[in-house]
Amino acid sequence: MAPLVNMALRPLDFKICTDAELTMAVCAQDQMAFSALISRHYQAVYRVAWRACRNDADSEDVTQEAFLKLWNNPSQLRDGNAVKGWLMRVASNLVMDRFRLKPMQDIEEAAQVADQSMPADATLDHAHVASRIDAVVANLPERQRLALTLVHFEHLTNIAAAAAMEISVDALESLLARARRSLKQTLAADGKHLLAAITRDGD
Amino acid sequence: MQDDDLDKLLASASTPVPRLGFEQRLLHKISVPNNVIAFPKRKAASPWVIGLPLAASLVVGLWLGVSNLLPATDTIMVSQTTDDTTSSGFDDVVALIEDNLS
Repeated sequence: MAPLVNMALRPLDFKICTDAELTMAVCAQDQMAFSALISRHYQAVYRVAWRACRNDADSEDVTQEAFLKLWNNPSQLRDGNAVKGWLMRVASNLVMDRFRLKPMQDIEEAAQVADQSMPADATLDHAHVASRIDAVVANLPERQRLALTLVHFEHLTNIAAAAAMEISVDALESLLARARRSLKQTLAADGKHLLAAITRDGD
Repeated sequence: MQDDDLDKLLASASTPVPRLGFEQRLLHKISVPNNVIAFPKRKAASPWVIGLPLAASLVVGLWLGVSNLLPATDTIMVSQTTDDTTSSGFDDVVALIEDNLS
């Protein structure tokens, strides 16, 4: 049987490998390749988990669990180049599984991640707006939230996001449209106030 | 609310950052070998162990049926009580008690 990857590759080489090459090495249980995959994608996976639960500890647990799923059964992944999207989808599903059993704790931690470069008084307003938007996004239905997160926050193309969610591009666009409509309805009451706060902070 | 306004609001959402040292903890967790030792998997019984006796009994049954070695069913006698005087059942017990009392 031909080797899956050139096993002469070492940590420094993994930095220039594509996701597909790293995933093939992970299939051969190469820990260095797996570490390279983790370093490359853990922040994005963490962010997707956080968008769903807004809790640092749970997001870390979910991120770890998503990577362990890949390590324990890498053959579930059909396309090695889509590993980032796959991990994000797994993380989103894991959050939903977790909170089906345990009610979501609405912990207001937005102030911890607010832009530290802003003045103290402006940070308060910006943190309030950010917290409100985070909460509204987190309350979207699961698939709408994932579509919005992948496209708006993680800047995936519609094609890549649709591939990550294993749906058609049309279905993804439908989810995005519904998510945006729902956000507009939810923010209709205080949207102007929030926009004014952003504008004031921007001045 | 216009699309532009919504985009501005979405752009103001938090950008969550993992806590300090998370990557190292994650890498360490992955690199540590699993201490949990799984029970050895129980070997499943071979299908032949079950299938062979079943197949053999089927063959023997067919052979007995075809070769007329089984006794004919019309020769089996079924005994049936036809004596109406024999007591049986709750009604007869009640009748017997009444007879004894009288």
